[in-house]
Amino acid sequence: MMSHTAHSGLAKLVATHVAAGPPWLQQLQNQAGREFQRRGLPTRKEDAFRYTSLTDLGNYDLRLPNPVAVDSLDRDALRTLALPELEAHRLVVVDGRWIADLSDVEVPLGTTIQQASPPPDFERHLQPKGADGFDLLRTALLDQVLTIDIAKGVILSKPIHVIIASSGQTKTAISQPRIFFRIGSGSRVTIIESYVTLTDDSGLCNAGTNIDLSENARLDHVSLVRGTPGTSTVASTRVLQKHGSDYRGQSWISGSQLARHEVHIQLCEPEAHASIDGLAVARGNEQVDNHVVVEHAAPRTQSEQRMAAIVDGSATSSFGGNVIVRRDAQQTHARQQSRSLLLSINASANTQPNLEIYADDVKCSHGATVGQLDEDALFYLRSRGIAQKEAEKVLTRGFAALWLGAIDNQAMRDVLSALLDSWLAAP
Amino acid sequence: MSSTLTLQPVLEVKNLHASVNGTPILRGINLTLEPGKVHAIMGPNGSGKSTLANVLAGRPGYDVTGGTVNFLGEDLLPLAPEDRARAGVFLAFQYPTEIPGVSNAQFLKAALNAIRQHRGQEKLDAFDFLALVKDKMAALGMSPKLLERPVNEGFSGGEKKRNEILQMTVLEPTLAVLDETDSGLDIDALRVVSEGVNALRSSGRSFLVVTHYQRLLSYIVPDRVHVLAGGRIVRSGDASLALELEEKGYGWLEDQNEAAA
Repeated sequence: MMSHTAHSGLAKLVATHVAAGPPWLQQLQNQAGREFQRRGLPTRKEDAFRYTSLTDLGNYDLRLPNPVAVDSLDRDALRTLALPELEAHRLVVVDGRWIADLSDVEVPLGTTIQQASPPPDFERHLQPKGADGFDLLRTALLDQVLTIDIAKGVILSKPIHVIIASSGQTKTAISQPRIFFRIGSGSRVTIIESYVTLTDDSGLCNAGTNIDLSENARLDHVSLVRGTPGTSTVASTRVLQKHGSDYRGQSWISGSQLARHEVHIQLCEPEAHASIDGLAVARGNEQVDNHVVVEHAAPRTQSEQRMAAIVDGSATSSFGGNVIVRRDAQQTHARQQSRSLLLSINASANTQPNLEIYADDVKCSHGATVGQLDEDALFYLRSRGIAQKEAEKVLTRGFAALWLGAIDNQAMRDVLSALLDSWLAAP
Repeated sequence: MSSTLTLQPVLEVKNLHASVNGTPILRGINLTLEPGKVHAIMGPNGSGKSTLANVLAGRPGYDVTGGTVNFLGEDLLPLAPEDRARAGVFLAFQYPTEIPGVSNAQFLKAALNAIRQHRGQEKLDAFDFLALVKDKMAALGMSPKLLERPVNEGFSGGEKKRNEILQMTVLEPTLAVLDETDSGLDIDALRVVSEGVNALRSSGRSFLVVTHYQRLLSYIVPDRVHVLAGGRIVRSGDASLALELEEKGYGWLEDQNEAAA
């Protein structure tokens, strides 16, 4: 059996954690805790982490954050990170706690928000299939859940923006924000989740978002993972979809020590549709991971994954894209596309497409490309007076344009376009 | 600079040798192009016409192995492609490159502003840029919709060539090198493109028109015609040389060339 001395800090943390809450919860937490102590954080032997280095994390003596001192938070930094140019209902979560004082007072019509011990219907979200070390940690150390309910038939004109911040007030803390969205049938909403850090050394943010999408609901879900150099963010999004529901995921991941977004989508009932368009960017020694699992569990379901990565310096990207079509999920359509652009000789991009198909009447396709900037296109731009560096930026931006183009909403597209431009403009 | 009345040549190529992938293609080109003149470079396939065009634009992979090229009295060869463009050299590509994800408008505006900045002019904002470019597109019979499309992506052959001429009219070079701009054009497109070129002819602008066929030169009437064969200029003459070539083909010149060598 492997030893996990590298993660002994976390194992100790889990061992000494006293599970609270109702008996069903305590039982699940203890179970996950024991499992974590046995397995530790994922290693490269696990497929989903084959190209991901977690050794730096293991060197930290990670601890749970102290209750955040709201008055000492850098409000200007928070305001900037909260995308002030975007009209939205804002909710601020710091170190896993919803801070009402920093959030919009007004709650949109048809919406209720509460932070409490997990509600009983959260139980099925605490035993995910194929749980990895991060999932186990999330369950073992689970404290409170921020539950956001959107009633039936609600159409929100403004998005709900949840700013999930790590304060860095406790050095090398592990914060575990847990958010549960229940979207009522026929409702149509846009939710943005921004994972941000307020210092350059904010430890590990191990975030979990669970979404129940009811019949015919449509959710536009934007996940923005924006780390700073010394931080690690592992954000997991798990979606359960009912009949005719429509999930449109958009993600932006900019590198840090580790920035990882995992999306698990289960199309549980017929006619459900899910798409995810992701762009991950990294430079220096940064790591970005995008892992997607779409499970077609019912007939006539559709999904598309369109993931892209731009990797510069000595950075690493990894994409794992899984499509699972269960035996009963006939007439499924699933598409998966992954594109990676390498901007330097030392950059690396890893892609692992994986299709598991148990039904016979399905249409599934996948494709992966890894490439560099086109030399002919570079010369074409330069021959028109555009300097080499600028030409590289123009082409890199062109590579990302497909991702931007998938965003319906103009205001949202402007925000993501600005994020991209500021990343491109940085050295 | 010069105190005499002799005009300084726009382009002065002396004994130019160049290789592609280690294979010598140009074997001693000599060429002088005065301001306001149009010179045509003709010749059979493989004679080095396109290589000459690409060498002048500074395309990577086209290695100059000997000789000199002066542009407005300055050595052109050490300059990066973008610096040549800013100094006033323009190449209309034989095969314009498709650039997914970059709109034609974005591309043209970036190019124009890079060149304006070099000339010490203010950058144009989106509004002024559009006003400028839409007029020029109309003159070339181009749909304004092509501005929003990715550069050359899904353009027809004719649209690509018009797009090259559009860039030339927007960037206003001192030396325009047209590399087989007539290839793939039907007769109507050929007329429109030629009119676009002719409208730009002026005392301050010179053209090097590379073509395989005489056809284009009925529309863009050159001051001089040079025939390239085996990487050398084997014959030069006035516009009537093009007609002679049309009649006799290139064979007789190549035979002469071999005999001379």
